[in-house]
Amino acid sequence: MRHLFISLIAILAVSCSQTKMFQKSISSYNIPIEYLHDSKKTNVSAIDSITIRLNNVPIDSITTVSKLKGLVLPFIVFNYSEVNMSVKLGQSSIEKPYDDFFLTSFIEESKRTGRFGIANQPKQDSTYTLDITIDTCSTLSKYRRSNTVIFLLFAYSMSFNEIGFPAETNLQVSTKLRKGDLVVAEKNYRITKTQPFLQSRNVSIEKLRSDFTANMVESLSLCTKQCIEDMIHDVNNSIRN
Amino acid sequence: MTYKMKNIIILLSISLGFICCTAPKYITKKQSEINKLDLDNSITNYIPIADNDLEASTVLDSTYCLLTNKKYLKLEKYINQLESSGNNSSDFYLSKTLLQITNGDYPNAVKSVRLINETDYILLKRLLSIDMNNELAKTNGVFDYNGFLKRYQDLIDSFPENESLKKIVAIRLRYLRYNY
Repeated sequence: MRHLFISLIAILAVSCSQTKMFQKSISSYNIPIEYLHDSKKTNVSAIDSITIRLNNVPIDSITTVSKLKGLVLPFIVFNYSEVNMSVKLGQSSIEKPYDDFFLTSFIEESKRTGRFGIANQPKQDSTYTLDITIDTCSTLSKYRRSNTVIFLLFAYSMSFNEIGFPAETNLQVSTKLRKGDLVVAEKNYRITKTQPFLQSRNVSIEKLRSDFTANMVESLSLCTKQCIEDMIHDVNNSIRN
Repeated sequence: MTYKMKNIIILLSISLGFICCTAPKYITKKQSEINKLDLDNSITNYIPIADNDLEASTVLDSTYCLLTNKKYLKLEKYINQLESSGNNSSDFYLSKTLLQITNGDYPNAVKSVRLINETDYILLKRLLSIDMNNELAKTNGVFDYNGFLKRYQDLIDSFPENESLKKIVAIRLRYLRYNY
């Protein structure tokens, strides 16, 4: 009974420290978030100008790791244990502040496909104001560490394995386009995306973890791209009407 | 056989296996074949060769055949032959660049790509030039993701109708992000 208790404490301690160590390891990667603007430049002259206000950026400051349900198979000749972790992307893993990235990407895309210019300050009634509120911005993924021990008669074999799963981003943004004090258009955007994790073969643990973080940042980056393109399309239509 | 010899043989076989199994970082492919691929979930860096360019140039066509059949030694001989015969056409320099890229000889590939005539292979010359500079920057530890993103962005904006190029460049950036 005492042995079982000690073993359980040991397993608990190891799995807790694994989560902490994994969080520390994954926080050391800083991945660029900027994307390629592949929309076709429209080259139309601006109808009017818009002032942008970005109100809320609900992204965690650090990437956090929490433990999920694991698996332990303690047989006599074969031991298998699996630790599953849920990872939530935070600002610490992204090279550029997310709000800066969102605004610069919006401005860049509006230069390519927008029918409006970007003004720094609202000057007159004809200038529109676009209030952007990011309601949800979460990128989650799963990571698994497993180890297998096989006891033979005079020897044993031990193997460790780590796997990353595709990242899922949920981005919800609401916008209000105002002309003076009048709300001209109001819209909510909900973009959810699962980004395939293109895992290279025979890579080191460090490379795998770096790729895993890159996959999460890539997922958020591409979701933001889609959201911004949709927003500019809608603003163009609202201004035209 | 001594213990030392055994070790050497094992090491040699492992190295040979590693060399044989390591795929080149850049794959040269015909544009028509690239069009058939699903590029959305790919991390392979393709070098697109226009089908008409292959039809128009014997040198490029021969290079392409040898590259796709992985006859790298034969290709090296072929390039050396052309060089010794005084060939200094754009076809030759492009072929030489492709071989050097396949061999991972990026410093010399940068030099060869510069020798391609400004009016020939305009897209390919620009693409390979950015690729090679990016490889050199990585080697020298002065890599700047945003700088290269801007250069690739300018490239796709110069060829707005080329949808395949957008996908090829998107893979380049994915590769850069994953290897930052």
